[in-house]
Amino acid sequence: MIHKVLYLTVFCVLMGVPLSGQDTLSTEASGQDTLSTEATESELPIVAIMDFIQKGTYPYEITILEAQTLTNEFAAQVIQTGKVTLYDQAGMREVMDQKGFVSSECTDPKCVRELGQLLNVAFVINGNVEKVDSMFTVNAFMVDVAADSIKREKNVVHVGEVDGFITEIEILAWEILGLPPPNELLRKRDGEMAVVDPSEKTRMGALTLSAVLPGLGQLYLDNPGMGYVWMGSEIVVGVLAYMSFTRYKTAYDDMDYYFYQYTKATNPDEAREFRILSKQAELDETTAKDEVQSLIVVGAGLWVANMVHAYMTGPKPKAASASTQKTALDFVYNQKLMQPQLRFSIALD
Amino acid sequence: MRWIKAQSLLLLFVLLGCQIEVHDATYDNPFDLDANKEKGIIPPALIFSPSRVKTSVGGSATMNIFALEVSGVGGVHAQVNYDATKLSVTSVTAGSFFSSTQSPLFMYEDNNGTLDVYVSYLGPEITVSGTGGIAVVVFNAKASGEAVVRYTAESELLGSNDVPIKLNGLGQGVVNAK
Repeated sequence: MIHKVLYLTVFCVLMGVPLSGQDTLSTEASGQDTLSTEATESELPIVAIMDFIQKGTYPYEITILEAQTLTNEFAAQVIQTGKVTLYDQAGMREVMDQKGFVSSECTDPKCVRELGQLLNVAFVINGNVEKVDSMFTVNAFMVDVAADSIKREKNVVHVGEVDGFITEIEILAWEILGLPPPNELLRKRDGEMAVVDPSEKTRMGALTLSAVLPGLGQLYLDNPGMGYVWMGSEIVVGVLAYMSFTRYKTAYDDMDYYFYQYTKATNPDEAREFRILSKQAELDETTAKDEVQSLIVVGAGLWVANMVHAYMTGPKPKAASASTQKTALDFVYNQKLMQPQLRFSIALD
Repeated sequence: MRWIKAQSLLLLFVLLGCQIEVHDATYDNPFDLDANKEKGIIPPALIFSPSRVKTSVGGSATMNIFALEVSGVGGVHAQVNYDATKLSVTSVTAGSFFSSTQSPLFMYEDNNGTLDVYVSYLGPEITVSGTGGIAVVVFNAKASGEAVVRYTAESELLGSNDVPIKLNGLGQGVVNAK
């Protein structure tokens, strides 16, 4: 059964300056085939996704709600790419209702472009879905509003369970943007269990290695510079601590010896001499002990800092696919307010 | 995660457990003039060495009666008070301070809690100076607990021709029987 995903939109945070002139951020203008990977959040091109419409022979095997759900899955994955800013779906539907746009009727590039201009977005993605028995088909188009052309078109046919079709929809979201789908999705398509790639570098892996040996986590993260800095720092502190400990041990043994001689002294001269030596050894012992303890604290602090650094500089965990994502915090553009917003979504499936 | 927690706990344990031991010495050698000064014992003085003796009930405790930093002494009278309920005197022998070509007169008298020790050269010519043992006293511990052994004000040093020399300090000793 198709997952019933209900997005509860919570306009919780209003951020930044209202966007304008985002058409100039069109990737087409820069001559790039794929979307820029260096754009900041506010520079990302805005994409509106129209609800996929049902296609085929009436009565359709896919309901409007299911088509919308598939659109939402698709939109969620588009957000996961991180290369575009998604125009708020609910806001777009509202604008379409107000302006008389109907998804099922607005399928030609001209209508789509008009909608895009109305929404003031760089791209509009529309498409249709069809189900015949166990065969699913989806056609998607990405229209470049400024260039007034179809930038990319993708068709997917899937025979089998609906879960596999959802995976295809998720992969389609990457491909329509000209991006390579993540390995996780490709493995999912191949029927493999979602397992963690042992060669994949993780924050926890870096943290664990840095906990074992300072700098090891950074080396694991291919950051040898910082790795050797942490390792070197720890070695320096360790050597200093060892030297202090050696001094402490020597002073301790001296103290043992001189104090014993002091207690056994049977004339004032001897007693005075060994008292002085013993007191000096005692002072050395205390100083060295304080040094050792300070260096141990410094070493431990460096160790913990190295662990934190390894964790913080480790790769962020990849976002779960939309089908498994229970909650999400998305960055969308609200047409009414002319501002980007954070959208908090909860999947109720 | 469990491993990380275990390691964090280990690290914490190591840090807390890193209390490095240091000596806490008490400088109380009876020959230590500085330590004696802090106790108000200034030479010339009579002291016990060792100043603290541990023994068991029924066991013996040997204490030396010492003259500390004296000058021109021809005779000594050391009167020692002790707790007769806890200690008894087993033996008293002469120390080495007064040994020379001429044998000194040495005698003692134990009177149930008070021990008088006399050492003297016969004649005014010979005197001793410095620090040295006057007598070796062996006590027997009769009961458990600490028994204080101290010189009385009757103790005195005599110079040549029996001229008294002022004693500036009188030490004390402790026999601890368990």
